[in-house]
Amino acid sequence: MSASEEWAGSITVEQLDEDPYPIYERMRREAPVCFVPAVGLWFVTRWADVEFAASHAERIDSSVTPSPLIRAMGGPSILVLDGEPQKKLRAMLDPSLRPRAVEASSPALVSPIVERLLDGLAARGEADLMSEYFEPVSVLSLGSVLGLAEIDGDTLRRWFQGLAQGAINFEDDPVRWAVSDATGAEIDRDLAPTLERLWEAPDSSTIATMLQHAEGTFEERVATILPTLKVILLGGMQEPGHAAGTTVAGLLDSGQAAAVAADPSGLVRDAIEEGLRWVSPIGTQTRRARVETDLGGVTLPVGANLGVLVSSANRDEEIWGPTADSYDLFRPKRNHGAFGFGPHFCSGHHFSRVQMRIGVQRLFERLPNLRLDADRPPVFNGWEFRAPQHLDVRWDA
Amino acid sequence: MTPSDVLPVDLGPADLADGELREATAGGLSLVVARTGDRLVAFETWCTHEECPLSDGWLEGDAVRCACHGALFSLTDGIALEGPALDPITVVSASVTPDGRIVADISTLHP
Repeated sequence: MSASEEWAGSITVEQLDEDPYPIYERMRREAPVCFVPAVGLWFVTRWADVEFAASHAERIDSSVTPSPLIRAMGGPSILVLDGEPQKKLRAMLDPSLRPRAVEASSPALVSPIVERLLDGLAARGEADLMSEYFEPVSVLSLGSVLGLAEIDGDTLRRWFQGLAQGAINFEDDPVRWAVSDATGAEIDRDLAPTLERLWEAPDSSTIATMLQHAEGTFEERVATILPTLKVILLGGMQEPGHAAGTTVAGLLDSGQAAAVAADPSGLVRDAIEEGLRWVSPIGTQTRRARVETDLGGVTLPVGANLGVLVSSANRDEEIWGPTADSYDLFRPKRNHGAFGFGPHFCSGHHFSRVQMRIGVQRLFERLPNLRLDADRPPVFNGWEFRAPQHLDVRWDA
Repeated sequence: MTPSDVLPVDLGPADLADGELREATAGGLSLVVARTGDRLVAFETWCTHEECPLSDGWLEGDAVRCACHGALFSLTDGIALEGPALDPITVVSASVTPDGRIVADISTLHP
């Protein structure tokens, strides 16, 4: 056993949750494709290998076995399918998420939610932006776009937290399964009336669009779209809310918030893209070697399960230089891998970005002298999904 | 004769407003001309992701957004700023003739 293999064998889930980035940095340097027994995955850490693994389904596909995603979502979703079945689901999902459709409808849905929440916060002078602003903005905005107006924000937030417990359960923790299974059953039960309503009276929402584009009886269409709908409930609520919080944490901690406060509309795009790169909210995509494949200096056997780490690719020094670990608003601009690569690139990326820009821009426009609460600094946690657990801030009320 | 034999080529009247883009053809090549502030540029029509026409997109500051899947390209250096595209587009500067025509050397643009 090599020294790298011995070291990888000692890595724990707790270490990854606390801070995976030093581990990823060592892997990129010493063992860029490396088996981690604690989670049963080959970690793929360098940008070039991540891009390859995520873009060549003829060699490395999404049929991970066993997949926590299939159990958590109640069946095969858009995340674990490839080829024609995946294209069919994308064709159901994409029309309501095309950039022009998003630009036409989303600001009018998101802005009132943002303003209402900021109205409630502005006079207080302090808040936890994760639980009191970014997560509510995220769940309520997505709920509106999906067609879930009758489901309240706390329920949507609880659903996405419950589904996440299963989706990341690579270690097969029975406690996490209990939470995830109960959440899945609750969603199936509570969404039934909404699905029937949108089937009988379709509107422009994502759920109605998916039902219309699916095939078969109503029951068959529901069975087809429900696992993917749960993926959207999870990722669509998570990516924008957590990336927006990460962005503000990065800006405030790096001392670069003043630049955004002086020109919110001009710099908000760059600020968010750097936040997405710095701590990618969905850092891991799981894949499986369909055929024996050479990658990063190792030969992956048929059936090897991979953790394709976009979060590590987004810190690769070969791409981002020696300051890759720092949040830097003024970093030379280029795209990152936070929304994935290839056929599984996130359908909702533009909606997510529009929502984040409105949320972060208006935050800096309405809350003067925004700053971290020095007594409660932000603490990040997670490796598959990573975000500040809380983001306590103060401002001049 | 190919487009590269005629430099610079005529890309239509210089009546673009700030933030406006327009499809153009020259020597059988499809391209897009756009104005961002005082600057006129010409670039390849086809998005490097799935070859959707960028002429159907729109400008966001000094960048062009593809209407199909949302890729964003810098009009300064052509780099893909937002996925799903990874590869850049080629962008060239354009100028205006005394008689109000947009002209550019498009020999580096891909067909």
